[in-house]
Amino acid sequence: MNREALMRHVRIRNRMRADVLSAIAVIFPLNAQAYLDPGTGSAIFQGLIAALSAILVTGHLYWSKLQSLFRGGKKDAGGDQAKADQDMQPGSANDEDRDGTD
Amino acid sequence: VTGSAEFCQISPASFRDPAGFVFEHAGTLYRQINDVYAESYQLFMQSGLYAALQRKRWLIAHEELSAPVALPEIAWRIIRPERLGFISYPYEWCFSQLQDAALLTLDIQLLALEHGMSLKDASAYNVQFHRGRPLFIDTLSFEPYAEGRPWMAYRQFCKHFLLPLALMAMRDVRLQQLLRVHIDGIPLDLGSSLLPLRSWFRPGLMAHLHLHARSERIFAPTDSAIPPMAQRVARVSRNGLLGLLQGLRRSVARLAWRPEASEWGNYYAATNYTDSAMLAKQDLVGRFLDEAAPESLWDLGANTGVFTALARARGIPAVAFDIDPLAVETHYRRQRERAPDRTAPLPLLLDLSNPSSGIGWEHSERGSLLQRAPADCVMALALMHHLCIGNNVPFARLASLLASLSRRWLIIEFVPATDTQVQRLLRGRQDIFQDYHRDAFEAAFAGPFELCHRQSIEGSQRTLYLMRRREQPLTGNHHLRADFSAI
Repeated sequence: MNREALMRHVRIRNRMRADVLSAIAVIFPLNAQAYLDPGTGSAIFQGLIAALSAILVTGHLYWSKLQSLFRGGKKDAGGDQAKADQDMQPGSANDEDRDGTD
Repeated sequence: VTGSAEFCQISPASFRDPAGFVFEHAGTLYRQINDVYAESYQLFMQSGLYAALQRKRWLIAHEELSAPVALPEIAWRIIRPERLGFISYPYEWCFSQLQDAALLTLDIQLLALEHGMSLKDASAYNVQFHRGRPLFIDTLSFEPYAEGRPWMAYRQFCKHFLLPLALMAMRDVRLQQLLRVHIDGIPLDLGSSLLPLRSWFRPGLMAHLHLHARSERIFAPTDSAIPPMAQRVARVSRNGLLGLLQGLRRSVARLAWRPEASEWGNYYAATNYTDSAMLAKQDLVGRFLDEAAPESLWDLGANTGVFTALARARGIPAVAFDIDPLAVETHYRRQRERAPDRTAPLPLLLDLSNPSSGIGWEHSERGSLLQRAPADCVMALALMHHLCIGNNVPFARLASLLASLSRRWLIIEFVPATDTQVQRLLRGRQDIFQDYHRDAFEAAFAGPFELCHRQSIEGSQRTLYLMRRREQPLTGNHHLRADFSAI
């Protein structure tokens, strides 16, 4: 694993830890200390959901890395990252249908 | 020409937005951009987002002008958006129309993020149907995206789109009408309680609707200040936001309304007949349309649009109203398969016995049906027996409604009491409809309309009329006999 891949690994791991901690933080103590209008409550909830989906995306990254290891793939981590980034590109799912209007 | 404020009519639909508003001047719609929005607008244009949205035909096109100005003291620029044929509202759309509008909103938000911008609201009223496709119409909805900030329109998106769609697909399609009462979307707690148990087993619906609704209750208002930790948790990373949007998109796209499993099941088998009378009627309606050559058409009781299609073939833009959600759904899906064009009909859900009213501030944020009238030509085929017998509406009342919906023309079909459809409506009812015959019908309609053609439809007992609206409606019945007997 080259240095760049290692740094990325560390960054992702730290981000995951932060997300999990945030999630735990929001679930437990806030039950007692309620305070907000629905809009702000929704924003906090969104933070939680977004963190979870970031975790899922990261998990997906690890999973594909694992798969490529078992396949004995020669692709480096950067390649996987690039692919995952591409998967995250917006509007990819049904764009063909909509582009029919062009 | 510099427009002055007195001649500018500010639209009652856009007064809330500090960024700008829509106004009408000399019959043309403009949008004033206020000083406070100048920076965002420039970024919107320069980031390439406007051009990208235009290439995909997702956003209404506009041109920039310097006049007329409605409120000069706060004006920064004036734009003239492309003119739309008819403004419709989410409680008038079928399931697929609402779903397409939802997907468009999410796709626009995803595209905006690529250009460093974000939608500041996700209201269903920001989408209209144009050339048969959904089109985003609020050019001033874009703001610069700041990494870490949550998507402030998330909750609105759930209330305006995801929740109504889930209710329609999983509980009952008629629950969409809750949008008529709740102008800013169905409350999450209400919708969550109405959804069936199985909606908890769909992760997207569980999170964005059920848990979201509960989060509002958990964070209910109290006097204490916002804990700093909560502020930290409300931070949404870019990847988190993309994940959220993709998740919402999947949840919306996965919902499907399956009418075949609903009470509307056998509708088509029962009504979808083709015979020589049908062809004769099509031929006749076509001839009347040729003679009237209207600029626009409202087809009332359009069903799946068999007769609306005659207008399309003649280049007449049409709105096709029907009371049956399945008919509107079928019509919309059929026309969506075709290439978009100017004359693509707009299928909409409407109960004529209780048409859309004006709602919101001063009853005018969302216009009533009458406020959006008239059409150049109104067509009412196989409709009157439903209203006059099914709903006890006297002929004169029907005539006056149709006269207020039509600017010039009326094509109307008279269905006699001996018709099997009328007999079906009369079954089990006392015959209180002694006046339901052709003479009474003609007499009532001769008040607001002038009869141009009367033709019986071959192979049926029905009669088709082409009428022209009078400039000054006649009053009293004594003129009427003479008027119609001249034909």
